[in-house]
Amino acid sequence: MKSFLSSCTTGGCGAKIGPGELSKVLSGLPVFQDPQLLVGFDASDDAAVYQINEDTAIVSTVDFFTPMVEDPRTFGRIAAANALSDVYAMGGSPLFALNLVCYPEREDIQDLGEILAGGAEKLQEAGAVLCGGHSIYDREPKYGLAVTGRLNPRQIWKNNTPQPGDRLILTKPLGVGIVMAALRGEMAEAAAVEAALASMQRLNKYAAEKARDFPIHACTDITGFGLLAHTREMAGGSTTIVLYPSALPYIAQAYTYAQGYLLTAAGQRNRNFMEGAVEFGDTPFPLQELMLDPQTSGGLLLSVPGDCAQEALRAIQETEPQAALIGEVLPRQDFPILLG
Amino acid sequence: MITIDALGQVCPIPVIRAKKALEGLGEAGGVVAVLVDNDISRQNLQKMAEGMGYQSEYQEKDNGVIEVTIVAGEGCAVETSGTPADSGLVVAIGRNTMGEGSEELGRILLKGFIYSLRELTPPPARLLFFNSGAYLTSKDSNSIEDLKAMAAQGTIIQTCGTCINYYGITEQLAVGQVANMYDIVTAMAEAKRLINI
Repeated sequence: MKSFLSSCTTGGCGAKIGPGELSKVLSGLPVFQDPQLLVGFDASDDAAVYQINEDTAIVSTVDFFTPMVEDPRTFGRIAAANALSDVYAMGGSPLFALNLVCYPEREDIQDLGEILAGGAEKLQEAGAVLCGGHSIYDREPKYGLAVTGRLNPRQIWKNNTPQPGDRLILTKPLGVGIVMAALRGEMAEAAAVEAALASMQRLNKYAAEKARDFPIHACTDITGFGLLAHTREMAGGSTTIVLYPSALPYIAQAYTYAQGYLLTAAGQRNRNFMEGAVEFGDTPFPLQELMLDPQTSGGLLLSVPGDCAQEALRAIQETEPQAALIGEVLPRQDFPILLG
Repeated sequence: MITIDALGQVCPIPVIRAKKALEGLGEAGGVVAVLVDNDISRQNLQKMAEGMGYQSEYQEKDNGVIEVTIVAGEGCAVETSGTPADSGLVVAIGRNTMGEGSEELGRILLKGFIYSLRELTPPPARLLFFNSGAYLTSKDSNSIEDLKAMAAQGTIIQTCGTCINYYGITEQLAVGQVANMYDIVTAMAEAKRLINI
């Protein structure tokens, strides 16, 4: 399937419609009211949460995108890890999932089998059940999953409820968008691609399981909008988040690639979107790009009370060694994000 | 003038092709025009041009085509605070003194060494701290101002995570980021030049 990657105009979470563009149309939709809908799309959270009874809520999410890698099975694994991620980011456990498939008539159907097998592998790893799906012909291949999970309605991790005094933990290294762009430009080193593929296929399950032992105030997963847009979302209207650019975990080569201007369209869209929300000051250009880099199946950004942040970090690092403390939460200042 | 037709191509391809053409001009310089069909590509081309210290402008043509013109060469450079040239120099510091002999003298020498590194042009690409060298990136280090200045210039500063845990100074880390042994080995292996202290 050599045409797999090159047939697509854009891949992975880099294909997302820009956050600015999206808000223009979402604001025109009616707000649905239902006391059992604990988290809806008005909160721009990662998934919807609907309460069933006192102790049980279901979390529901859907995610799909075009390929960002040549190998169909790897693409399937990444798409499934990405779709499951929203459930973990809410503090839930996935129960079952449905496949979503768009596939060109002209492509080899065996490759579609590989995509689905890759997705199924990740569902098994997550302990969730695959129970069907829907497929249509389309010009470009697309794959993803609608995932349903469960959680305790008293322990929902919302994405915009951090508390001043919290510290922020990021569980995966940044830079997968830049590395995949370098791959498209045939300038990526094998080690960098390997690191990016491993990161994108890594389930956020392990980080979330460790984090559940701590009183998490807010959580989101990093996607195509990049670290900065998610940070702004997390800061909401009442806090300011200070990020430490020098503390960010990233794929080592991504820094060099950014320095060499291997720039993505999505990264620039994210930069435009963040205008006025952050002052880059003296932050080196490659670190700016890493903070704007679209992440496919990115890590969790967790807001943890300051007094247990180190302990939480150590626990998470047992399974996610690249996790790092990357910032802190302050009462609201002039900007939603400050770089420290 | 070199004209590059990057219509229908998505980032980073237009930027890569433009950069290669600019580099191919050598010291004499010249003009590279790039045709793209979306404004984001135009923005990325101008971001690259500015970062490399070149003048650029653009013109919107018919059918959504945008022509970005980049001028490279003598007298064309604009003032830029962009990224410095990559020196490829990696300095690995595995102790908090320099050389054998008096420990007090060793500390003074190491402070002077780091101060002098700060004066290098271009600055070191990366500084690696491990074992007792980890004390140098903590907030009580008397080299912290020099290290912060280098970080601001783009030098990547990494301190061994195992080491700061071992010495119980994780909370004191005041500059750069935590690295694991894989990061350290990769940085050393990829260094164009490596200095070990």
